[in-house]
Amino acid sequence: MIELLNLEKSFDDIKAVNRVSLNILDGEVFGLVGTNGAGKSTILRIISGVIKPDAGIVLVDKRPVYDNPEVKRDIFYISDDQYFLPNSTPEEMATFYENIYPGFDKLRFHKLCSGFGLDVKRRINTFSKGMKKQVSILLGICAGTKYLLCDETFDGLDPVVRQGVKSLFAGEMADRGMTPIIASHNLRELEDICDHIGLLHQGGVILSEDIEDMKIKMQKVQCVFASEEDEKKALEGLNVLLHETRGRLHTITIRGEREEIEAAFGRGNPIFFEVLALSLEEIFISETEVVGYDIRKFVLG
Amino acid sequence: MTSANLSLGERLKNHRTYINRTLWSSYIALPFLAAYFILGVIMMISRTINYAARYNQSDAVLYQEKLRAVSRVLGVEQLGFVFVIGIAVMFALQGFSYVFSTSKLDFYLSQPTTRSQRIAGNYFDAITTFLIMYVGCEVIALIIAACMGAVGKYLYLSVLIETIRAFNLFFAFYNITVLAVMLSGTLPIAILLTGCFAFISILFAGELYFFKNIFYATFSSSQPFRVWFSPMYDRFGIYVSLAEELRASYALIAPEYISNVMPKILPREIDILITGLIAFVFVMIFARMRQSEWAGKGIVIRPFRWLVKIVVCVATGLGVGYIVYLVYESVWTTRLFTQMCLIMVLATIVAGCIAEVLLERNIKKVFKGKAQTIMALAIVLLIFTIFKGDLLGFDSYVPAADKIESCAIENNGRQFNLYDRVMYNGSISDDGLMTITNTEDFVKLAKAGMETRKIQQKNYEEDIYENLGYDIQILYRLKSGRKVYRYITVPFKTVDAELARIIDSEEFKRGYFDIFNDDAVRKLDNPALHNLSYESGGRSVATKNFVYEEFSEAYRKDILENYSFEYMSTHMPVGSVIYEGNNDSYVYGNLDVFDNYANTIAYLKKIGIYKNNNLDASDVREVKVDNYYPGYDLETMPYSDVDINVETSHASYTDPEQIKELLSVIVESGYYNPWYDYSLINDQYSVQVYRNGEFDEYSSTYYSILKGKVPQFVKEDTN
Repeated sequence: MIELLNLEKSFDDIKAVNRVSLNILDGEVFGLVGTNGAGKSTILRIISGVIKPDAGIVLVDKRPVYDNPEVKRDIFYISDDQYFLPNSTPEEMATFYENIYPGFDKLRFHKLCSGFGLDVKRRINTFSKGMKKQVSILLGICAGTKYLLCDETFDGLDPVVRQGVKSLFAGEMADRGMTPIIASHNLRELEDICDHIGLLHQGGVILSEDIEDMKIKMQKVQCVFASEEDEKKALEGLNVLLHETRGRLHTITIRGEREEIEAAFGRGNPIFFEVLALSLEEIFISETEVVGYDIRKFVLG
Repeated sequence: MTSANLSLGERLKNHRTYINRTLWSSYIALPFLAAYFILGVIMMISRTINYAARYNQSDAVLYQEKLRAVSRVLGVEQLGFVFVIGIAVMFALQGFSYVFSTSKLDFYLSQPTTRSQRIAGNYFDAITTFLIMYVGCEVIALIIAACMGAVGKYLYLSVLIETIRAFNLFFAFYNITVLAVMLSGTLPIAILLTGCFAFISILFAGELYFFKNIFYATFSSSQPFRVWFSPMYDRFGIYVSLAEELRASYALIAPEYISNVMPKILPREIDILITGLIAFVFVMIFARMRQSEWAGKGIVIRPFRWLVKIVVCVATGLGVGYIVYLVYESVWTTRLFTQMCLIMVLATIVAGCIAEVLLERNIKKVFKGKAQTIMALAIVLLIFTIFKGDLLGFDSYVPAADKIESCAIENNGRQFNLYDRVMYNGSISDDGLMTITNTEDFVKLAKAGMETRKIQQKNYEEDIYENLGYDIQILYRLKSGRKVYRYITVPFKTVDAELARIIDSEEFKRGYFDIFNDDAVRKLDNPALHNLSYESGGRSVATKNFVYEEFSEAYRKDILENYSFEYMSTHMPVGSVIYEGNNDSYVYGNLDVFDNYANTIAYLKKIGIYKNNNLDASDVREVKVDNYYPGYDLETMPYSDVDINVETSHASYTDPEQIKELLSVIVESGYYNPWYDYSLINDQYSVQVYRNGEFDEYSSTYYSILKGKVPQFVKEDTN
């Protein structure tokens, strides 16, 4: 388990991480989402021991990570801008990591490269951006670490490879309890892979919850009322987050459980009433608007 | 199978792959090293063999030449240290440049190592790679040399010493470059800082040396130019002096070779080692302080950034001051010193602006960091004030007599010069040969000499040119081991008693006159190829029939018996003896002869070359007098009142009475006598004497008129 408690990090006058507290449980896929410059990469770099926080505590399985090789042996960090040794091939990178990570499985790396169509003897600097990402991911998976930190890792992967990587992650989680932590601003990408989401903005955490819980606790309703009075009766006592009206059709996002909302709408006796599934993107738009953030600042992919 | 079960061999193999990918510059350096060592040895030995065959050298000579040839490539005289410096800088930049890139930092620092382990690993990789390359090439070159019969135990020792020196140098430059990297955020700044670290102490030492030369009246250029904490200067400096000295002296590769070289290189090697260790300690400190997010900044630590800017500004300010001095070198007045100070201030300010733009990489930041510029200005002005006002008392420094081991007066006479086969111009003069122990008298005359020197310097600044005393360079050998040189003007008359006791002492004479140290001349003298001539009054007589040792003994006797300050202060030489030896080396000697050198004159008479050329009015057909400043009398008015553009007037005398009167008041000015009281001479007039039988002006001899004795008819005719 990775614990972040009141983490702070500033770069000159810019507060990149502001009192962030998060718990990342073993065996779950944790997604870090947020606007550009929200502090996602900084948090991953702190967890991987690259950066020392100004304040706060980072514990990986109850052990401090900074300058601690024992802990770092359990972490593999795939940064947004991957670096490979000059003029190296995937095979040479595997050879390099073989000396670094005791759990590195070179044979498996060769097999996976073969499966993904990557030539292990070809120089990496001749690969496309997506192929380089594949090499990084395969190296990370084969390192055999407990935690795999991925910074914008799925960007640039084609849908087939993306699906393949997701399957690999699933397999690793099932086989040896790997815990991927994925930072991205692509919410759609994370929706079908993450168990838990931490939303960052301007260095702070807006929310941190399981995706299923989020979906249970928020509903989107489309309805048509006969009169304004009916509408008032239906919405009375509900925590309405967003309310849009097109003609007589109302689209309302409401915080609360489905049963509670259905009961409330029963009082208003609507002409038409339907509870719709909320996407992660919609949940975040709602949440961020509630706390006063301008939705236009978000990059939703 | 995971990597946990890798064997040591597999791990080493994997590590080699890593080094190949990270220290790839070794592939560039290796061919250069191999070419220098291996090809160098082959070519040098081949050249020696060809030379020996052409000039029929004996086997023993050929063997020594071969050893010297190998020593010049592999031994202490080698130039290969340039590659060592290059490799050290390259390896350090390559090994640690990851700190400039976020992606590289993410890659390396996320790996399961500590920062100190990573730094130690880089050091280990660089040092082992360097040693493998260096020693490998060296061993191959030595094997080739051995196959060509060009090795010996003292050569091996020389190579071993050089290998240790090479490692020392590598360690120093590697640390200096890593330190520059640790203090920088980008590669260009790191390269600039490395250059700064390598050259800054040389620059400051040079600037302060020049400032002493500019501002201090008693500064002597013999004072050694010392630079500390500069491996660059240490190595280049010692290379130049060793190469010159060893090659000029044809040093044999023998025990003396090593014992001669070691005292010279050891202090410099210690300086290199200390510099390397200091840099290493700072690397450890700054590596601990350094944060990953500093990548991309200019200079990462704020106080150090201040220091860099201040140092750059001060160095520029002082450097520009020296350039101003060079431009106006001829005339120095208070007005020019003020001008120099103002230009230094301006240069410091401009340097501050440029430094800020470079460090910030933003031209809009040109006026940022005013505080540092003001500090730099304060330092520049402080240095200027210290030098101009001599606040450190440089021009007044005279060591206490009890702190002085011995003293010396520089022999600038160079009675003998030796030219060897490679046109090396050597002198047997050496201030180390003189050991004056009469420190009480020496200190008295030094104090008077420094005061007079300062007055003379001040006079020059005010355009007053007056000869106030004997200009000499002195040396104090302090008991602490320090050597202090000063250039002084011992005033005429004031300390004559002290000066006489020193000049008349045997310890002065034996150190001052080359004739007492002419072993090399005696050794090289070949009766079939030597020549001795006596020149006097513009005439010269030569002979080959003499024995050098006999002449030398006679001359030595005269110096010991007849050379005295009292006599020299009132007499000029009457002639000079010219010795030429044309053996393997060419030797040229020029020795003044005074009237009272009875032993020398007797010997010259014995070999038939002495001719008394004392002036006699009956032998003179004409005397010409030049008055450089007609209308003025420099005996009664200062030089500054004279219009220097006035045209010289001439007068010619053939009347025997006038000639007789003139001859009684002139002294020959064609010779130099350091102890002659030149204040006795009137510089306004120059006299040419034509003897009977001499018709062109080139055969005349030049004389000066004594002060206060200018004949009335000369004054009337030339004014």
